[in-house]
Amino acid sequence: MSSHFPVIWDSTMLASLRACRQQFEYSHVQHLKIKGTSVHLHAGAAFAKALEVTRLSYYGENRSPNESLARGVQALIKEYGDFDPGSSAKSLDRMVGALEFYFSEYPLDSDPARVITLAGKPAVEFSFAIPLPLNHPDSGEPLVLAGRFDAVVEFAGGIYPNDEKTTSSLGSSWSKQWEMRGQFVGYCWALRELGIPPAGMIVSGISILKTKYEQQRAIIPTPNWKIDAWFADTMGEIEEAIGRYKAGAPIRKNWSEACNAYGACPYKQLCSVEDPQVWIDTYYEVRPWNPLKVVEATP
Amino acid sequence: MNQEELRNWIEQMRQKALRGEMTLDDAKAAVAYCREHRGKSAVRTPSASKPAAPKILNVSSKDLLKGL
Repeated sequence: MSSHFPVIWDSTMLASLRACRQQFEYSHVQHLKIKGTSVHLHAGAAFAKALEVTRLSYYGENRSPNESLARGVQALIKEYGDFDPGSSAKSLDRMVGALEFYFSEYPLDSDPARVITLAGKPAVEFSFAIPLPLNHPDSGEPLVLAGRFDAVVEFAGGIYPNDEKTTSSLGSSWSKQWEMRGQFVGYCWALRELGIPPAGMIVSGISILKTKYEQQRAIIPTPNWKIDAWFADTMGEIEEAIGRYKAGAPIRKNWSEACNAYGACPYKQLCSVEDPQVWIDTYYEVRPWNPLKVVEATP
Repeated sequence: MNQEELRNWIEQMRQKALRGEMTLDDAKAAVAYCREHRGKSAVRTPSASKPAAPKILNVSSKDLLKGL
């Protein structure tokens, strides 16, 4: 079933590889995705675009907070387009309200987390692609770790990648889930590789419900030893994957929590039947994931 | 403007945007309506009136000093 071993890796792929080899095979080797668009992905992408436009307007074009936010709203509505969210709370009006709420909680002109300037531009929504000390099993070219920062900010004298998460609820344990999140340690590794030693990671969460919004911000110190440990483990994981690929090893399923995480693995149905091809042909399509473009590329 | 009115108004903005007719003034009005609605909303979260302090995870005083 395997076709191509990935050249460009990102945190989504690493999380998938660690969670379940079968999930990784379906998602990042065969590039299978369920047909249709997830409301969470669509609304999240529109919200991210609005944050980007708002910040660039304020930090890059020196517009007022109110005008910058209005430009963000324009971008959000345009990006959301004619998408139908069904009964989801992430409807267009709620997303516009969420954006206004976000910047009422973190006002552009008084948020202690200030977007820094890199190479003469505000450090907002920029991609990185850093070669790894591992080579592709077929081509021999270096593998690359890629990602995209929502923003890089200065906070309390330290530099932090900042990531926004939209969610349906923010419980008391919301902030604790990020402590060991490889995605964020990887962002800190990337920033360090770019010559900007980070103090840690900031995760800003906003919950969007039909009747209210909430926010939380988590500051996660990320010392060098943690970054080093993440990098060693990550290289080991990929190296093992290369070994399995070269050996033509069987692709094993998780048979445990990964099957149900985040409201169930999108490939659970395929693992639940003897002949998954019929389901693949009917309910899935090939949509390659491009870590450098954030959104899934269409063939 | 209640939630239903706000939803309808934003829907009109969506239609204008789809036709390429939405202006910056429309967007400013959307911000103002959302702000007004949030201010009047009966359901308020504690964080809506006062930003919650950020949560600092797994940090020793030594690490904190390094971060600062």
